[in-house]
Amino acid sequence: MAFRKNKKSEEFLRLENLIEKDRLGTTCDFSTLFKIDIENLFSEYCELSDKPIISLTREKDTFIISVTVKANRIKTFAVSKN
Amino acid sequence: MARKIVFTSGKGGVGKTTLVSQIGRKLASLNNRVLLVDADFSLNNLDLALGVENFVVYDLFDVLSGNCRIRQAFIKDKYEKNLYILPSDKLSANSSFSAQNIKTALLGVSKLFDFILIDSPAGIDNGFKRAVLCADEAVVVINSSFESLRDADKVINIIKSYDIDKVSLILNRARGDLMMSGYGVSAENVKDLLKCSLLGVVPDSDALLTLDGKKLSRLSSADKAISMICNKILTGRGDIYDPTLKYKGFFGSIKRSLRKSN
Ligand SMILES: Nc1ncnc2c1ncn2[C@@H]1O[C@H](COP(=O)(O)OP(=O)(O)OP(=O)(O)O)[C@@H](O)[C@H]1O
Ligand SMILES: [Mg+2]
Repeated sequence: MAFRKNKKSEEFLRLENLIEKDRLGTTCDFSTLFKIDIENLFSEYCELSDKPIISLTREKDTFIISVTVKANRIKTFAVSKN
Repeated sequence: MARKIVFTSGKGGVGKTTLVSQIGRKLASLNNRVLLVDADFSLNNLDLALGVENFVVYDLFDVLSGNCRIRQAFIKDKYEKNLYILPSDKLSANSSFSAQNIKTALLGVSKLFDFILIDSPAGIDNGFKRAVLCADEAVVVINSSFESLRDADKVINIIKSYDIDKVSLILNRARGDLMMSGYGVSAENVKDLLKCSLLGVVPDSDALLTLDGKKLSRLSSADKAISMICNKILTGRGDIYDPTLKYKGFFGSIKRSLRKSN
């Protein structure tokens, strides 16, 4: 087949986000907030070398959430016992 | 037993009826026995698309109500001897007939045909469900508009939750000139986005727009695209029409600038 993969325009990415939101039955802001929070949480424990890759899919009544995080260093700290 | 394929879409007006009639004619011209069923009870236009609207005596309503035998309601196409149409003039969208009623009616004639193509209404209401549940395979017709793609995703997810063996897409009214200029959604993008296989691409074509039930010119690009789709339906393999082809090269760029100025 002779088709090239068109470079995805900003508009097309908007549509991709919208469809992802439709599939999950969430609001547009959910994904953005979720991604920011996950990044913040992991940053507490590791020095991230890249942004986390988060994929959210829905299979019938179950959500499958997978998070891939790459880090340069795991932070070392002790937990106080009081 | 006939393969029963429903043509559906989320958004209306994307070309389901046009494609059912032209793919039906092409399959029939390739020696397949084909029945086209109008399951769009509210906006039935399959008879019009094939130019047989004045030949309707009995229709699906009469068949389901027991007023006639199913074969009495068939209308033979003007051009293809292997093609028949089962119209639905007297039915309304809120008719109480179910998919099971239609399936049972079709079962009796399923052996007489190789293909039964079902024209579905747009949307995801009862009419859509009734049409889809009559079939074993589904084709979701889309165009490049974002509304059509978004609606198609919902339709695909609903169909996948039914007992349907196969779902594929036809990108209709594809604008090769826009794709070349980086605006149109490419076939590859569409496949990725909707996570669904692509059965074919049909270009935006004046030959289809001005058809009025007549026979599609063999010289048209739409005819070529429809032949390629039929080949894929029959063999499960084959290429997909590339609408950008005629806009490539020196003459292609002239065509492109002419089309854009319209
Ligand atoms: N590839 C094409 N190129 C140009 N015109 C087309 C093409 N496909 C369909 N059309 C035109 O688009 C219009 C709508 O097509 P059609 O009635 O087949 O859509 P539909 O999906 O069946 O609509 P509905 O949802 O109302 O049933 C018609 O005027 C038809 O001629
Ligand atoms: Mg229609």
